[in-house]
Amino acid sequence: MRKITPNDITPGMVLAVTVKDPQGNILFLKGVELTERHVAIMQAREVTRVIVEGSLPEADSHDNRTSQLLDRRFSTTGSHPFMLKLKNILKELI
Amino acid sequence: MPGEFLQIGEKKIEIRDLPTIPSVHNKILKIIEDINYSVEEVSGLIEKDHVLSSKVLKLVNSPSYGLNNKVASVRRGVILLGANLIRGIILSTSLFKGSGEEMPGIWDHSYCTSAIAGLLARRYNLITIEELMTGALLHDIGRVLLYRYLKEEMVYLNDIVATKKINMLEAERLILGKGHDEIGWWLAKVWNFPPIIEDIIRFHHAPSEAENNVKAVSIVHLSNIMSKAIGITYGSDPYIAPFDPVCLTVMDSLEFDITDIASDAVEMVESDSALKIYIEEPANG
Repeated sequence: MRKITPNDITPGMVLAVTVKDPQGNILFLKGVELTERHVAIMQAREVTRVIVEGSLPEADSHDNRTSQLLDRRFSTTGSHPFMLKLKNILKELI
Repeated sequence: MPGEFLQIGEKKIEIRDLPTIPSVHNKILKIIEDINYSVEEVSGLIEKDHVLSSKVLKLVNSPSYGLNNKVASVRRGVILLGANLIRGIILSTSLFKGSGEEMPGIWDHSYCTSAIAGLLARRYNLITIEELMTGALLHDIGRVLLYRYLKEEMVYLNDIVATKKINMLEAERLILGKGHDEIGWWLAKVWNFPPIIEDIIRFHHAPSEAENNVKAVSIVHLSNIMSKAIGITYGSDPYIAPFDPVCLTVMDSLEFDITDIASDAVEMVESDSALKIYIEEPANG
């Protein structure tokens, strides 16, 4: 899972999270495979962020810093799988 | 009835020592005690106070209410938020005032937790949105008392957190014998909040210990963890308090999806100029 802008979408990517416009109206449900047409609609509706499946090949320095901060914040919460999942989701979203 | 005072370690906090509530705020509190209060009267008084007005508008315009058009009128805000949330805003404002130096960000953390609780309530059609958001707004009031009345002890507690790498709640219980959850519960009783808000404040770290209102307590437990996990925190405690899996049994029955709600919460934070700073420039983690 990773966060990108509509400009970075390449056809075939799959939505990991339902896309809404800035007013909160649902545009496309998660699981949809994206095409050029989806991108055009998102741009017209001023969508700025999209969460798609798959991960980045390499993490940049920002990601490393965020990742370290999240590891530290979560270090005292116990090892429940739910917390691990939340931590990993936030590593991709922030 | 709450005791006249609360013993924390060697310190005693008495009801009469609690921060005084400005007379205009008190007047509003008196008016909204009556179930048939006049919205005009209440909003007229709130409009005279910039801080209260901005908080009313901030909460009603949070994504929790899902309104397509921005609300610019305090009157409409008062109608939509309801008496409990108005009380929560007024009391937290009085309490947080003067605590800013020791704990910048207490309002941001409380607001963020409240907005996430509201997002959950809206997504899963829970009817108690007002009580949920009020409880979430007030969940850490016990900690405000600690920073206000036990300044020296808190310096020591901050040290313990830093050196032992434990979370603040654990440090409070270890050194003071009481956590901010228990301390906040006393204040909730002093302020005579409804039982659901008392329970949220008392059990927001341990839904499994709550006998009633488990759903509401669980949602605030989770919202608090998420708010902290995203980095909307204050004081010098970077660590998230322990997770109580009981909250998931409640969420499972709602077909809860953590990816959706985490995404909504991050989006809410990123579109809020006051909260965004915490992500862009994380202070202590």
